[in-house]
Parts: sequence; C-alpha cells; structure tokens
Amino acid sequence: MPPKIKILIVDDAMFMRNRIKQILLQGGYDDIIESANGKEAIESYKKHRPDLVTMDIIMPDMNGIAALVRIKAFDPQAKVVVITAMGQRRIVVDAIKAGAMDFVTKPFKKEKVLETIHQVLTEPEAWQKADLTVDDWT
Amino acid sequence: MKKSERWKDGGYPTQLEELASLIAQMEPEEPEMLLEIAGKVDDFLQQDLPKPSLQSFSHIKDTLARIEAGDLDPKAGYHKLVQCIEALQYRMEKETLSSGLPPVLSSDEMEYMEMLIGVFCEVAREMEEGDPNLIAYCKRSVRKLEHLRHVTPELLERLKGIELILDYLEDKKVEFEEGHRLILDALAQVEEIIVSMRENHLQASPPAVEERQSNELLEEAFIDEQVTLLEKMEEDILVLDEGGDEAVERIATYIDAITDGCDSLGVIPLAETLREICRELRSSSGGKIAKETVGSLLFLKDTVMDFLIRLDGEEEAVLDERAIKRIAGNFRSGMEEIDRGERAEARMISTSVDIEELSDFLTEAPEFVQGAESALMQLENNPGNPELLNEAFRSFHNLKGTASFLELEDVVRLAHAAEGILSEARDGLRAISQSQVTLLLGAVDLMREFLERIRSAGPGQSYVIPSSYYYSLWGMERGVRNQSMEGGTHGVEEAAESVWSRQTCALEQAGESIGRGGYIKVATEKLDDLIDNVGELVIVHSMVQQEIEAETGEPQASSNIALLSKITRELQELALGMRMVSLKSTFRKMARLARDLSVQSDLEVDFTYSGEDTEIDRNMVDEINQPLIHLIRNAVDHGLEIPTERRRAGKSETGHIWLRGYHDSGSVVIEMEDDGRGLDKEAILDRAASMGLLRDDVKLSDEDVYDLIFHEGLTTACDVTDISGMGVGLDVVQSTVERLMGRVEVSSVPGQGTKLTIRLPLTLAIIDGMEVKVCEEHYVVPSIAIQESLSVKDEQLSTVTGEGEAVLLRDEIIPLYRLHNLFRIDGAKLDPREALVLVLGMNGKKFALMVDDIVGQQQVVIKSLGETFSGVRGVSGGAIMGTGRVSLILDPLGIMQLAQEGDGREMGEKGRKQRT
Repeated sequence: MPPKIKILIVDDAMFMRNRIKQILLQGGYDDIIESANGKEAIESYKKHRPDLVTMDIIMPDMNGIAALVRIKAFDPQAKVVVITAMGQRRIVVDAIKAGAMDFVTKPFKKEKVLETIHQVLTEPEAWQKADLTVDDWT
Repeated sequence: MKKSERWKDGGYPTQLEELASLIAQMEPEEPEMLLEIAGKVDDFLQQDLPKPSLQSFSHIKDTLARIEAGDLDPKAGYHKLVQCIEALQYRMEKETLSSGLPPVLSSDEMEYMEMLIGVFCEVAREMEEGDPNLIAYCKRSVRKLEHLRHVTPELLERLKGIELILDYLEDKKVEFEEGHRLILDALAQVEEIIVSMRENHLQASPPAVEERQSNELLEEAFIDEQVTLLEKMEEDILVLDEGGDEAVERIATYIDAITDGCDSLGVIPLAETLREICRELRSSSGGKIAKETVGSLLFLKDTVMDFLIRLDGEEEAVLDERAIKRIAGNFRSGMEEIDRGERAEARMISTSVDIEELSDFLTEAPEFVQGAESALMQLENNPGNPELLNEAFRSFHNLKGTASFLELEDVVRLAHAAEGILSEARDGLRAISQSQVTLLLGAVDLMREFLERIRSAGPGQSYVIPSSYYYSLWGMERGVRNQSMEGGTHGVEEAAESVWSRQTCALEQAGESIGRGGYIKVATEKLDDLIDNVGELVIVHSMVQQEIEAETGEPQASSNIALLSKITRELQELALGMRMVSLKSTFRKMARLARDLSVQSDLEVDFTYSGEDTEIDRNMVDEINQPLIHLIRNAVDHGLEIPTERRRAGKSETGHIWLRGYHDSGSVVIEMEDDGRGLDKEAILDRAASMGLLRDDVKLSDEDVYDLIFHEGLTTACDVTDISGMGVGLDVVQSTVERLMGRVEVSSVPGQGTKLTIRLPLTLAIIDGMEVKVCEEHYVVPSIAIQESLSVKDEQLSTVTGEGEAVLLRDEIIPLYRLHNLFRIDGAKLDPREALVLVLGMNGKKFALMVDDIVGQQQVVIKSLGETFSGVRGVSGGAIMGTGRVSLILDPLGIMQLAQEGDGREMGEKGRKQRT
C-alpha cells in the first residue's frame, strides 16, 4: 500500500475521469479529487496540493498545457502526467517541455496508467538526484 | 491422458511433421497406410487444439474416408491432404511466432511504440542545457522502451547507449554539447530501426481481423481458374433455386476446389469457413435446401469473387473475416432475413465491456453530441470562429476518446472522421464550408441514432448500424482525403464497405470465448408477442384438454394430450426464460452507489452482494432499480452508525450491507440487510401517533409497527441530510414493488440491523391468482395481496358511522367492502355471514372484500384490456380461464380507492340494510 497519495484528475469528460479514478482506486490510490477544466484544476491544485495531476489536453476554459504551465509556475515541483489521444505527438512534446513528467495515450490500459504514475511518484526528483553518487548504476 | 501431457511440451510440431511425412509417402492404394494416417489424425483430434486446427484434421479424416470408399480419386485426394497439412503447418508457425518474441506486433503495440519513441526523439532532440527535468524524462522513457516486449536487440543496444550518455549528462561528466551530439547520432539510428520495423510490421502476418496477401504469391492464371469455378458454381446455385437437388453435391465440389485454392493462397480463415459451409451443405443432403441458403450461397459467391478480382487487380485486397463468418452463420441457422430491402448490419458490443462504464458513456455522450450540434449550428453563420470550431472539435474528440474504451469502433470512426474535418478547419488549412457543416450535422444525428441503439442493447448484445452510417462516413472521409491526399487508395476500402453494407442478418458471432453460440437481436415487442401467444396456447390447450378428456376416454388420445401438455409447458418456460435477465448489472450499480454514499457520509461501508446471476423478467429489472436505491440510501444514512458509535456498541467500525438475490418458491427474492442500529420502534410509533395514523384501540405487532415505515411521509430520522431522510422514499418503494405484483417485508433487531425483503413474481406475464365468484361473475384476485380468507360471524360485523361497514378481526377494525356493490352486480349473496370475506393488504393498508365464494387458486396469464377499458378502476387486466371464459383481474389498490370514494355512509347504510 503506497503512502497516502493525493491525486488530481483533470478531464472535461466525466467518463474519462471515472475511468481514471477507477484505475487509481484499483491501484490503491484512494485520495482523489477531480476537475473538469484547466481553470478549476489550478484552483484545485492550489487548494489541495495533490502529489500528482493527470491532465487532459483538450478542454474548454483553458486547455491542459496552459493549466500545466500555470501549475508549474505556482509549484515547480508539481508532478503532472498528460493524458492524450494517440497521435498527438507534437502536443505531448510541448507538454513535456513545459514540465509534464510523462504521458499516457488514450485508450489506455490500467497497467500502463499505474505503471507510469508509480514511476513518476517513486522517482527521486531530478534536482535531488544531482546530489547522489555515481556508483548507483554499476 | 498420457498423450496430451507429452504433447504439451512442444510435441505438437514433431507430431505434425511426422503426419506430414506419412502423407508425403502415402500410397493411396495401400489401405493399411490410410488406416495408419487416420489413426494418427484421431490422436490429433483428441488434443485440446484450437478449433480451426481441429476442423482441418477432421477434413483430413473425411478425405481419407472418401479415398478409401472410392468416392474420391486417389490423386486428387492426395493433393487435398497435402494442402491441409500445409495449412496446418502454416497456422502452427503463425501461432508459435505470436506466442514467442518478435516480430509479430499488433497494430496497437506498434502504434504505442512509435508514439513513445517519437515523443522521446523529439524531446531529446530539442533538449537544451540546464533542464534536468527533460533529462529525467528521457531516461524514464528509455527505460520504458527497454521494457517493451517487442524491442529488438539492436534497438535495445542503441537505447542503452543513449541511457549511458543521459547519465553522464545528468552527472555533468560530459559537456552538454558533446553529449547531445552523441544522442542525436544515436537517435538517427533509432529512427532508422523504427522505420524498418514499421515496414516489417506492414508486411508481417496480418492483424487478427483482416487477412492481407502480398501479390507476389498469386498467379493470374490461378485466380482466373477460381473465378471460372465460381461462375460455374453460380449456374448450379441458380438451378438449385429452381429445385435441382442433384446440384448440391456439384456445388459442394466447387466449394471444395475453391477451399483448396484458398488454402494454397494462405487465406486460412476463408478456407476454414468454406469447409464448414461445405460440411453443412453435405449434411443437409436429401436435397432439402432452404431458400435462404440459396441466397447465402449467392452472396458467398459474390463476396469471394469480389475478393479474388481485387487480388488479381493487384490492389490491396482486404477480406473481412467477420463478413465470411456471418455467411457461415447463415448456413448454420438458416435465419437469414429474406427481405432484401431491410438488410442491415449488426455490431456486437463486446462482452468485456463493463455495464457501468457503458451506462456512464451513454449518460455523458449526449452532452457531447449536444455540444457539437450547438457549435455547428452557430458555425453556419460564423464559419471562421475558432472557438466554435474548437468546441465542435472537442465534442467529437471526447466522443472518440470515450468510445474507444468501449470498443465501439463505428462510433470512434465516425467521430474521428468528423474530427478530421474540424481539425483541418481549425488549424487554418481551410475555412469550413456550408456543405461540410451539413455533413457534420448529419454525423451528429447519426451519432444520436448510434447512442440510442447502443442504449437499447448492452454488453454481449448486438445493435444494428444506422443505414446512413457508411454514406456519412464516406462523405466525411472523402472530404478530408480529397484535400489532403488527392485520390488515394480509398477505392478498396469503399468497395470493402459496400460488401459490408450489403451484408445481411442481425446475427453476429458471439465472442470466441462463448464458443460457437450466436446471439440474435429481437425487438422486445416481438418477444412480448411471443410470450403472450404462448400464454394463449397454454390456455387453449387446457381448454381442449378438458373437452377431450370429458368426451373421449381413449387411452391414445390421453397419452397424446399428456405429451402435448409437456411440450406446451416446456414451450412456456422457454418463452418466459427468453425475457429473463440477470440481476448482475443492477447489483453492480448498487455496489457503486453504496461506495459513493459511504464516501459522502464518511462512513466505512462494506457492501457485499451475492446471487447476482438470479434472473428476473427484463420488464421488471429497470423498475426495481429505484426501490433498491432508496433502500441502500436508507441503510447508509439511517441504518449504519458512525464508526465511534459502532465501536461503543461492540461492533466492527466498518458497517456491512448485504444485497442478495435468489429464487424462492416461484418468486424472485431480493434481500437487503444491514448490521446497523435497527429500527427504532418507539420513534416510529411516536411519529405515527403524531400523524394520527394510530388508533388507541388497536394493538400493533412488531411487524405492523415496522410496516408503518412504508407510510407516506413517515421518517424517523432526527435530522434531514442530503442523502435521504426527506420523508419520501419507502412508500415509493412499496408502491413500486406492489405495482410489480410483489411484496416488501421488514424485519429488524434493535442494535443488530434491519433486513428488507422484496419478493417479486418471476415474470409479469403470469400471476398467481385466486379465482372468486360473485353471482355468476368470476374474478381473479392476485394471491400476493391476499392475507387470509374467512367466513365472518355476527359479532365481528359492525357499521362505523360515516365510514361504512367493518369487520373486527383480532382486535383490529378492517373496513369491509362488498364487491357486488362496487361493481353493481345483482343477485349476489347479501349476508356476509353466508358469503366469504378476503382480507387484502396493499400499500400497508388492509381491507376486507366480500365475495360469494372462492373457486380455486390458479396461475393466469395477464391480458391487457386495451385502451378502451384502461380507465376502468379496480381492474388491472383480464385473463382467459381454463373454461374459456374471461375473468377480470382485480386491482386491490383500485378497489380500495373506489370504495373510499363512494359515499361511506351510503354504502354502510346500504350494507346494513342488505344484511338484515
């Protein structure tokens, strides 16, 4: 059981939110909040300070990338995973350059989502890792 | 079995090779050799092999038998056997490959990998100094890629190299410029590898649904021969249509030949299906060929011909396996829709789709459709508006995204096509035109139609694709293609689609997991009609039975009648069973509800359900949702205590709710139990007293008290929360259940919990009834409403002023209504002491109904009285009795209302006069 992790799901489609939520619940993440657009997401992030955000890109009232940029500006250590449709490569590249940690493509499988989220959550942050010794990978 | 154990660890290929060499050395003239081969084939047939392989083996066996019997020229037979073996070996290779490592990737996997690598390459390429996050991302995605199943060793090597450089970069052991240059070099190699993998993938063995063929293998002459065969076959089929029976074998021979051709072309699924069709055809010999079969054969010929001609034309030919399978389906069931005007194509909703998700989708999708529509309407006057374009795009995009999870391929495709038009316009490639808006609005309507049809189906069921689907899709896809690709290869696809849309029959193969059984979608009205008619049959049967038994005493007649009775009864059960569905989806919904409620109310609730496979009449299943929702809300909100309170009471902090379904003596029982605080008897009584529901002179049993909770407006909750406790609910539960001819029971133990039991009849079509008589009129009273029947004594009768007559039963005063007065029947028994009184309970209220006599108890089929009599109160329907006469079915609730509306005093007076 992972420690109490709070996750914010941002997607304008209820179906997608539920879907992601179900997957997260099955993965043992039970502290979940949801937002239906970018604006709400920023408010919610500021209020709840989740450990991780899953972010849809195409949304009304501020798209996912704009929201991602604002969240990163508010909290540079924010961990955001982008959820996107297959084939939108350019958008994903932009999102990652804007600070997204990783991405998941729709239609996603449970394992892929959990695997990605687990990786992002457990990985020591890059700025911390700079302090580690080099011997680790031998 | 010893053999199958030995075969499991790789024995199959060896055994198959042995069989192949046996056949290669075969001397058709030597019967021992044939026997040896046949024995070997028998061994294969006993193995747990995939069905197509087993079919090939039995085909080998058939062929051997025909050679031996001299039915088949040994040379031709030998040729046939070799082809079968080749097909088997081909299939085996394909299977071994797909179970092992590369190179067989599914399209999805390939696409995923390309996306992962594509993003990675671009990010790595555009990486700039001083961004540790990007380095971290690159490392993460390299690791992800390394773990993919299909990564080739050479790709892995490059990836490892990149990972090393990234590590160096991260630890600043190398200058950024130099490291980045090295990465760029490695990336170029990675991209080359990916391009070649993509090419290999396209050439590699086909994806599951379609069978692609490279043209090199095909010789023109060979195809010509096949085409000739098909044409000859058509001639014979046409003769068949006129009743030429001997043509059957000739057709089968042609199909044999074509099958062999397909085998050597490597079109295995088609060959398998053809073989199956051929077998069906032969087994139907005796010349009995249904008209539908002729149609199917002609369709088969067209489809195969189409395919071959396209192969010949060096186009990329795509044969849809499902189309062919359906043809086979037609043969098996002979259920082809003959009406060519109404040919429609069906799709099945995957059985793996979660019903809850499907219903979520269906709830939300209309919003997207609505969103798209309103944006499109505004776009008509404002074609360049980027926000509107975006809104419409987003709506279709969401539809596509959500539908893709539910494997609703057609919806995805439609949404994708619409999205394509909109995204081009949005990205400024061109303005959206009036005709495109029209096209898109058409797609909106079509999408609605799809949703509607999907809604009325469900997982594992199929729905018919709206007829304008292909037309709409074609319009939209062509619109995009013409702009972007100028022509392109859509010819083949269109042709393939026209084959599809010509496709018949609502019969779709059920998923392979279910095996060979199929599903057929039937309109509920038809099913209801069937059940009604079977009901009639049952009644007429019993009428005839009574007559014949009375008139003739012949033993033969009575044994025939007994047989007929048995068949009729089975038919009735079957027909009713067809309308039964399991409680699974209902129970799952409740589980979800309980979970959501527990979150809202900060309670820990453990919700368990069992017996979800219990079946119930489809017409009832929707109706019981609402009552169950009420019950579960009540349990969470009022029943279960907060954790601290539970601990104090010595119970676990987690509250439990159990939902159970089971069959019990001809009823469906749904039971909901909680281990909460139980009902508070005193509170209920107080509340009831304050509402004036109690009479001082009546002593209530525990059961009666608990029954009070169903009274309108009564709630014991001290506070009103947002979940329930609004004072409505339980009375709705009771009235719904009673409308379904069911009953709700409550039992409760203070401090230990409450149990509510809903008892429903198996079906709405038939009820258990008590036949009663008033004068010469017969009526049926639903048994479920009858609490007891009695003959009253003088001292039990009284007249309450202004209220009419009453019966005193165990200290309880129950109003007495005379059926003959209510229905104005002359000549009935007037003295209650001579007549019979039924005590009926409905909706928590009781009354006594006076009738002349009880005739007996029996099951009756409910018939609607039709619109003309729908307003008649006190009667819920009619039933044809065994004697052939019609009796009305009484509606206790209606009777009570009818009686209460009649002037009580007048009735009372009238009754009193009638008595004396």
